[in-house]
Amino acid sequence: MAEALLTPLQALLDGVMLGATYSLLGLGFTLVFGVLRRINLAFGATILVGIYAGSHWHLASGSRVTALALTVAGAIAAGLYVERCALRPLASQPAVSSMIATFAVWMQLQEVVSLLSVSRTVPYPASAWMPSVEVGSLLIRADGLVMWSGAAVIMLALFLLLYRTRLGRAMRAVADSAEGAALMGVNVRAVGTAAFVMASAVGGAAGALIAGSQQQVTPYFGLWATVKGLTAMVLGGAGSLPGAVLGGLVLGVVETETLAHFGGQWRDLAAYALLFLVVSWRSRAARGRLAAAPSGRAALEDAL
Amino acid sequence: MLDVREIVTSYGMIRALKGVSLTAAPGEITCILGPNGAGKTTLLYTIAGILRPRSGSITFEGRELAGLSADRVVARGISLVPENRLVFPHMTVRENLIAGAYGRLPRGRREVDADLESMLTRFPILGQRAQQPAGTLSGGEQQMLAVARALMARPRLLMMDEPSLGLAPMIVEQIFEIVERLNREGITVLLVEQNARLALGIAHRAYLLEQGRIALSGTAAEVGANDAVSRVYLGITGR
Repeated sequence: MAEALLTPLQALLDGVMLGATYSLLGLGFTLVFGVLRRINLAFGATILVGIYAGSHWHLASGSRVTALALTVAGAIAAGLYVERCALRPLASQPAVSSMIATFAVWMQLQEVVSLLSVSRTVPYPASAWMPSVEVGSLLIRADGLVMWSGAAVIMLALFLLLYRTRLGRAMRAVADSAEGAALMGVNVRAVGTAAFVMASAVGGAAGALIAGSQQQVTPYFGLWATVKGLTAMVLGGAGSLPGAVLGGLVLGVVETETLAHFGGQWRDLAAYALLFLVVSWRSRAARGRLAAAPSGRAALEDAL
Repeated sequence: MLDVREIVTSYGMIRALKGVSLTAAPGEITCILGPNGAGKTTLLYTIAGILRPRSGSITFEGRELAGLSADRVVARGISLVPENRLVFPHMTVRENLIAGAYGRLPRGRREVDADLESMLTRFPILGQRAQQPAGTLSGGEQQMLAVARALMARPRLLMMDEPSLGLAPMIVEQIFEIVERLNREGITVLLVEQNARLALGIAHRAYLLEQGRIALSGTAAEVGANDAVSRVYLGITGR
């Protein structure tokens, strides 16, 4: 009896720990989407660049701390490259143009990483420095604990920055009304770049946590991270920061619960089914609002 | 105080302002009337540094303004209360007001806090709603917030774009009373308004902007007495 109850509980625990990193990926997407109104499909690929840089550094020097710092720095550098190539030149164009451009940069980064790397799959230093612990019949995996606490610290720092500092307030003001913020004397373009750098840093840190848990990475990590981050953002309501955190946690728990009850082959199916349900429900609600609201565009922006 | 000379502003190939000149005298309320699409908002955005003029000059207190970025213009002492208010809906009333003092924050946090408190006392409704997201405020309250937010930059010239838009007549009167009170306290006002009767009622000087050109100018009384203005903008027919 007790055994049957514990499995879902164990899955819940694992899901929350895994989901915390999805939350970080979702926050990265949300920062860029909120401030710049753009979707950066190359987000996962920028993290990939960081991870490969960190991995190679670790292979060469053996230093874990520098490898970690280099992962974040590499992601920021790649993020700035994406912004220069795919967002800034297309700032005055419709959002779709830059989304397509980010897709092109994604492929570019993934190819460069594959070509320059010593092997297709690269090792990453393990993040767990202590053994896993058992509490009752619950197993708390050390790498999961590191993921969860690392994510919690990063989120706390991010929220402090966004809600307590001048730059953070400027970002939220631009997200609410770029025109209004410009009139207050906010340099909207600089704030946009800052948001992009911040998103890349959060992404790089998330990448280090995930790679440290899996201890090896392939070039497909870019696709994986983009899909998880986008899903977390959309589940949480696209544009809401607390929503992205919640979306990531829900995604993590749904994945691990499905894994525990139905097996690994259903894991992604369940996640995408959830995404499908949320999107179709939200678009129906948006259509309802479109019919009622005087300004269709405002309602659409609300819905997004 | 503000001297706009032969300003030309274009959107791509379309010239929205075709050589506009006007003056806002210190301590006065100057109003700009005109139909939709005449270029009124374009003019205010050009002065505010959001749009760049193709040619012409804008001087404020004797110094050139044209070509400065928006943050510099705010720092010089000009604030704009935009059309549709553009408050930050997900930020609290307090945060909206602090955003108004964005350029002053790095140097005088204490002064900004003092101004914030006096603003919350001055507009009691904002004081009551200080911790609420601005998006939960009524239209009139949002307009008050937009005015208070602009004042947080300590402007000497306050530009207002259609403050009556979408508000109930009683609220509009309140907003105009606030504008008059601010003007009596020494703030120069440049007002763009569709409601010509109300605007001419409080303004000292008036300009009529049509198709990117000044069609008429004079004291508020002179402009109000003009045949075309009274027919088209004041709705007075058959004399």
